[in-house]
Amino acid sequence: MAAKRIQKELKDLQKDPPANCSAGPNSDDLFHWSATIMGPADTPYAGGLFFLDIHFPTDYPFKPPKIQFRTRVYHPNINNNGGICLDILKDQWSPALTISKVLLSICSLLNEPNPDDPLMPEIARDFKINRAKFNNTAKEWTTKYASLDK
Amino acid sequence: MDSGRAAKHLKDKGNRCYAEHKYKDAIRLYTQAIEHDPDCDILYSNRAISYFKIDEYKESENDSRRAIQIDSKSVKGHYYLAQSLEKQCKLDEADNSYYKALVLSKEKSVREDLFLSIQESLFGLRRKKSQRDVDLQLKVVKDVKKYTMKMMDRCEELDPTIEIEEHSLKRYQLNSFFEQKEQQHAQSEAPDYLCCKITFDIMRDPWITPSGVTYEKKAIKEHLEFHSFDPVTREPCKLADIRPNLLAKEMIEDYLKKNPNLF
Repeated sequence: MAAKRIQKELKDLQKDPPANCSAGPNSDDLFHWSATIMGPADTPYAGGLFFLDIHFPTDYPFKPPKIQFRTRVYHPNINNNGGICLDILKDQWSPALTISKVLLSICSLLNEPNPDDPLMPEIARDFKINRAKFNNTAKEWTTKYASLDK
Repeated sequence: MDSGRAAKHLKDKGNRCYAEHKYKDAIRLYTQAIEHDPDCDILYSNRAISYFKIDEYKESENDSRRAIQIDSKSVKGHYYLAQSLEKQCKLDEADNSYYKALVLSKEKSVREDLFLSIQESLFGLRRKKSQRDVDLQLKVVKDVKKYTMKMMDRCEELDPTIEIEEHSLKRYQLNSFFEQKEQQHAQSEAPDYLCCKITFDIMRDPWITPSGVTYEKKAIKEHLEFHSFDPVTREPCKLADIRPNLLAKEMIEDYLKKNPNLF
């Protein structure tokens, strides 16, 4: 069932791609995808292109996909290994969710970090009490790691 | 050793070779066994599937037919016959044989996995057949369109009295008529409202939650074994709460009758 469902999601993604995101299988392996997200405008991530890895478990969609950033991101809810702290990727997963919806949620997370449930407490502290410093560092990282014209 | 025991001994050896994917050895051993016991349907059906594995479909067909001659109720005989016919592109004959195998396997209550794989093969073949029919119809529509358009162009050239405006209007109408036909034939996906919100596939056994969302029974059961919420609405929902959705079932059956390619 997993393969059929993933194929259907792929078809839907190609027909009606979500704004600012793209996703698809790496090669012949339907269970291993790459995705990109464009940094949302009016955030320190604007202008950046962020790559992600997606692994589907064999019992997908009953278990959530494993998603990691491959591009470094300065963000309270994203750690050095690209791990993402997002409830729908963990205990709030539902089999009615799709990769498309998950990618949109990750976009929202870039728009609105959640410093009260941080993976990176120091970044969260900067975000809360020294927003200018946070914005600067995040912008620097975007230019350094996620810039399109490299 | 009497010939019955010799045949059995050779058959067992053949089965071991088959299990080790040594199909040519298996065929040799089954052939020897048949020399000892020429009236055993199982020997022929075993050799049939071994031939099938090395892509010798005609041989496989012949052996399957011999097995059926000996025992007209041989499930495997009919099943392997169907498979070899399908490979030889004799789809309608294959359909018949799969169907016979399926009916017999129900009658004789064979192993569940055998029954399921016969059923899956039959559905697969029917999908293939209706795709073939759709492709043929589409080709006809395209041919007729091309021909008609050419003829209309020629009329315009040959007949100076023709009303150009009316002619191009008719031409336009005819063209959109053909395009519509092409689109209808190309439609190969079930509408979203008949698809399960978990499998994304057309439902076979639709069940409804207290929130009013309908899912494939197997999928919603698997989810509710470990969780107690409706996947779409996230409202509380337990395994005991779900019911068959008879309206959806009727709608799906009706839809499948009109669109057999989604079988």
